[in-house]
Amino acid sequence: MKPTDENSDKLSERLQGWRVNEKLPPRTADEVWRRIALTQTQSDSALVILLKRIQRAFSRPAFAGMYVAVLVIVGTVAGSLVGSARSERQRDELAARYLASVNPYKNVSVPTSDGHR
Amino acid sequence: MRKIISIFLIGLVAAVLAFAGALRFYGVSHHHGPPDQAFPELDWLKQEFKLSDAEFTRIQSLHDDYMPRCESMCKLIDQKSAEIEQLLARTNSLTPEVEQKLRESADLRLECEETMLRHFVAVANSMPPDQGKRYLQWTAENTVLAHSKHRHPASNQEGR
Repeated sequence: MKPTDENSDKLSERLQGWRVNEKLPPRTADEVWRRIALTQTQSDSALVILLKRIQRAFSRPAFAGMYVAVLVIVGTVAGSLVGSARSERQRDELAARYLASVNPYKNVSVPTSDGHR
Repeated sequence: MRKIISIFLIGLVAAVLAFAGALRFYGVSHHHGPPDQAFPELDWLKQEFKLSDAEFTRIQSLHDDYMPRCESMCKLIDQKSAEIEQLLARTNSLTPEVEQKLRESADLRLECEETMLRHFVAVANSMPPDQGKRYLQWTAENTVLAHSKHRHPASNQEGR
């Protein structure tokens, strides 16, 4: 059955005139709050579960040892990369300093296009 | 829980120590000389060109002999540049006086480059042959040959 404009108008009228006279069951508000609290407890428990899993993993000596070993490797690799870069930079600086020390033209500047030296 | 935190902290401390150790090892292992010495660039030269103590002592003495000459050349260059600058400030044309100063400047450059190259050759000859060749090439490329390497944009495009 297709809704006609007439039917639709009647339905709208009825819906607008509809009033709920029944009272809410007692302790509805309490029940709503209880359910909200229950939802929060469920998300908390996910965190607790995760923590428990971590705790369980760390209680295994093999895992704890691997964790420390991985961090040591990461630290060593990062330190060597930073150290190498620093060493390379220092070498370049010293090479430039050596050249500057033996070149009497080291301070001769080339004028730029705007006339500033 | 306390055990987890302990292991977590131990891991972090171990990582920091490993980082510091590697940084120290890779950062300073190539330079054995004391970091506060007067001429760290000479220490670099020793490391870079793998010089023995005897070679290094000889090169250090050559360097000490050359430095006063280099400094006096620096002063002459500055003096000549100042003279040309003053002349150019007074006139907008290429006067015979300016031409004379430019010739003097060119002669001075020639003399400086000869002295410099003579020093580089003497230093290179005090090194092991392959290192000496490398040193001479590097110093020449970065000093006397550096200003002759200006390329015209057109020649760059042709080279592509």
